[in-house]
Amino acid sequence: MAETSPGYAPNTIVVCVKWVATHVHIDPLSGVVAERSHDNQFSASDHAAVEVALRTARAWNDAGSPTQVVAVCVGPVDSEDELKVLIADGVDRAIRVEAATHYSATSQPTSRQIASLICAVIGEMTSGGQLLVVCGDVSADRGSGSVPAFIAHEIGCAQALGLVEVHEGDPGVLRAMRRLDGGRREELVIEAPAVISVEGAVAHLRRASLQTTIAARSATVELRNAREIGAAEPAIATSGLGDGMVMHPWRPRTRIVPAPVQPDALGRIVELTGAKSDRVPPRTVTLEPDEAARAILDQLAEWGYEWGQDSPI
Amino acid sequence: MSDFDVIVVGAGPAGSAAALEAARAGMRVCLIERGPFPGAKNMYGGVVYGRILDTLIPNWWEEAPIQRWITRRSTMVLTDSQALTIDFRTESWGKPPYNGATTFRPDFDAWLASNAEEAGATLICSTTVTGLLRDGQRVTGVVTDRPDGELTADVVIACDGVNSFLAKEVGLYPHTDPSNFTLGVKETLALPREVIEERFAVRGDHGLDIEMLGCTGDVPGGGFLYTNAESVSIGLVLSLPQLAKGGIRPEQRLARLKEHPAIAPLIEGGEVTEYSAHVIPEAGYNMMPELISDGFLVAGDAAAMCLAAGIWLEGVNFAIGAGAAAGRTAAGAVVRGDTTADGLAGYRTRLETSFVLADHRKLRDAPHIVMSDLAQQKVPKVICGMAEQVFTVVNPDPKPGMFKILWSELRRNKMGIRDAASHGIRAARTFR
Amino acid sequence: MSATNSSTNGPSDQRSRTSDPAGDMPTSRTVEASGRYAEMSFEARMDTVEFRVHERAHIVVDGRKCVDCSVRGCITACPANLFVPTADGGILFNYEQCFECGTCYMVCNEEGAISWSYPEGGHGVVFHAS
Repeated sequence: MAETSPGYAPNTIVVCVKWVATHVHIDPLSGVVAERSHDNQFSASDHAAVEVALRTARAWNDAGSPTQVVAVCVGPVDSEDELKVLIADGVDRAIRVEAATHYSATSQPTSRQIASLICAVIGEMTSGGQLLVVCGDVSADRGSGSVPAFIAHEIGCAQALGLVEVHEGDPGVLRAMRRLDGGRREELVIEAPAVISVEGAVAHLRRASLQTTIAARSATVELRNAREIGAAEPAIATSGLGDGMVMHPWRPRTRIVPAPVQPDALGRIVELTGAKSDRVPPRTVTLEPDEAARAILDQLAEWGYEWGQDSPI
Repeated sequence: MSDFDVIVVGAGPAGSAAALEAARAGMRVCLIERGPFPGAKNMYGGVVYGRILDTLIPNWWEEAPIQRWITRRSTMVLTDSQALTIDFRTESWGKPPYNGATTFRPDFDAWLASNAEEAGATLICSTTVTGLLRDGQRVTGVVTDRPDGELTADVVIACDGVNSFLAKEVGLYPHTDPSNFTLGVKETLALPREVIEERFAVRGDHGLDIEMLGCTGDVPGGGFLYTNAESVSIGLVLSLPQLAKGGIRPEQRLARLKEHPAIAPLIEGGEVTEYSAHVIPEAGYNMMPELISDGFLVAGDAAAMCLAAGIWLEGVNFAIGAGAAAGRTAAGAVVRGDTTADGLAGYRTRLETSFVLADHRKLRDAPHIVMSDLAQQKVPKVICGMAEQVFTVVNPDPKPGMFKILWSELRRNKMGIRDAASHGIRAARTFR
Repeated sequence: MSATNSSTNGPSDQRSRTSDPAGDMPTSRTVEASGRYAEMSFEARMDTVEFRVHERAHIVVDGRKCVDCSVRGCITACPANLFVPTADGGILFNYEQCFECGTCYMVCNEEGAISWSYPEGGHGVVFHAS
């Protein structure tokens, strides 16, 4: 947490963390995405990215090449508590970028927009030293993992994404492994400047000591405003149907089926399948779409999926 | 010199109130929470009553994360096929300063803790306190599960919940008797706002709270159902020893309640959005531990400050009241430089002169009466049976007299008149 | 990460088969009352709760003591159904979906059969709407 300025630590490792909902609650019928408080956190792969950054910085520092780690989050003010946890873990600076639209269950800026905001922050701290950007591979919202690729494109450097193993090398160098299809693997030597993304299993984020945790509570998370740092304001994609968000049809939850009571195995199977019980034969109806939807709902209600009259639509 | 003047363990209502009051008194306070945020581990059966908050946070209702203000309060007595409800509503509870509100504890507790932080307390989450630092009998700090996890303080306030391992470590709880505890299980059921307004006859941000008796089968306990903004919460409170012996699992008992003809229409179509459970210290005053030791205070559930007295079911308000008293007492003791048990003795005095111990002492027999076999098994049947006889029209026979109905119901449920009278007198004495 | 800790060597995932140890509740009744499907399955019920599981088990059961236990209150009372009897008379336990309520050790009939502590800070159950 020492005051570090680019002049004293020429190497910079930027670690990007995404404030993301780990659980998304979709209303079964209307498809409205509900947001609950405290659902957001940094994903396991982002935590792995932080740990990789800290280990790398330590190795480079030990080799006599001063290196600082900067965590960057394009996220709402709620994320600051967790950014302070990263400071407690050993990150030198934490920067939060305030944008009009943040990732949430109901809206998200595109990867390209996030990348350009992060690049604007990176632009502040280029100092002639080595630059390494570390990202988590995939986040809990089933993101595409494409932010690091856009960052690499914008700063014009190498990228190595989806790494399953990372070893620190000499200052400015990493050795890493990537999983390929068909049970093969690829061993890489990565030289800065570079952008990497790591899978969640690569490293376990360390647990900060009590004293650093207490000290970090009064640390400052630096704030940047998307407009002021000159990046284009992210356009808004809302309603859960924006870029990259896939809506799946709702499937009824599993329910208890009573255990069959017949004494013999055949009888139990017959009872379970309902083969010999009275049943309504399948019917084909031709209806207008809204009538058809109503018929489906009525049928489901009749089968015991009980929303009946109180359907939210 | 200690790392902090006061360490508060647990950022629930008691802990946050303690940290808030101690920090306001100028103490250096550390508030330690094991969940990833305050309230993450907490659930409850109902309603937060706000009067005690007035003294801590003026106009709290303007900022507290409330689901609905309770303007309708029902007490329901159930048998397998009957239900008698006493229903009260008042508009005055629906405007400031309000009476009680439903809220989600992860929201409410986090809000209260943020007030403690604003007052200057240092909040540390994701940190479990695993034990105490002690110098002889004197508590001098806590040990946490973080690396280099020791922290010293002049006073440690244990607000670590119903399992309070800290109070046990100090020896304040000699042994844990399961019959003093109940298990609360609850489902939060999502329902559209309009459906809630229609079914429960409430409008806007007004809501209903129902307490139930006679819905737990052969296990002593009770039930509750209350409205949130866009969900209802339904749950049971079940006495631990009988639950363990009964052979029927808690969620199965809850499923039975949900099928009851008086309940099923209220919750029909509700999708379970969260299932939760927690243990409740049920026995009140009679199970309370010693509250004070050298450098050590206990508050909230850790000190069994839940009031489970039949018609009154309260806990969060008692926790806040006790926590605030603990925070003030600790601050005073630190300023005077005497944090021994004698120096902290003012805590008990504060509680005794406030509702916290006054109510608990006055109602100390209530949990026992409410959980008795008579109140649990026979009274609901007698009450509902009487109501059914009174309101059943028996033409062409003439209407039976009220006393005749009472006698017949008492006889049918094998309840002696003397038995009934002596319990009635005892109950009257307790609740007078 | 070990997914399950067991006091015996039995397989870990037997919970679904024993979700109704008493046998008289409420599946058949419920079904009659309100159509073919009514109560959600226990697995779906537990799916509504968030658990941040730590690799260390915070519950440990001494299975040797359970062999002598006739009451086995933990099996009935645990609201998360974490305790399952095994054929050899032991108790199979899970800790991952624990509400951290403390019911199990309070109803435990055999002194010290269940060792129970809180999970590592930041882990375990996380409520959102309770």
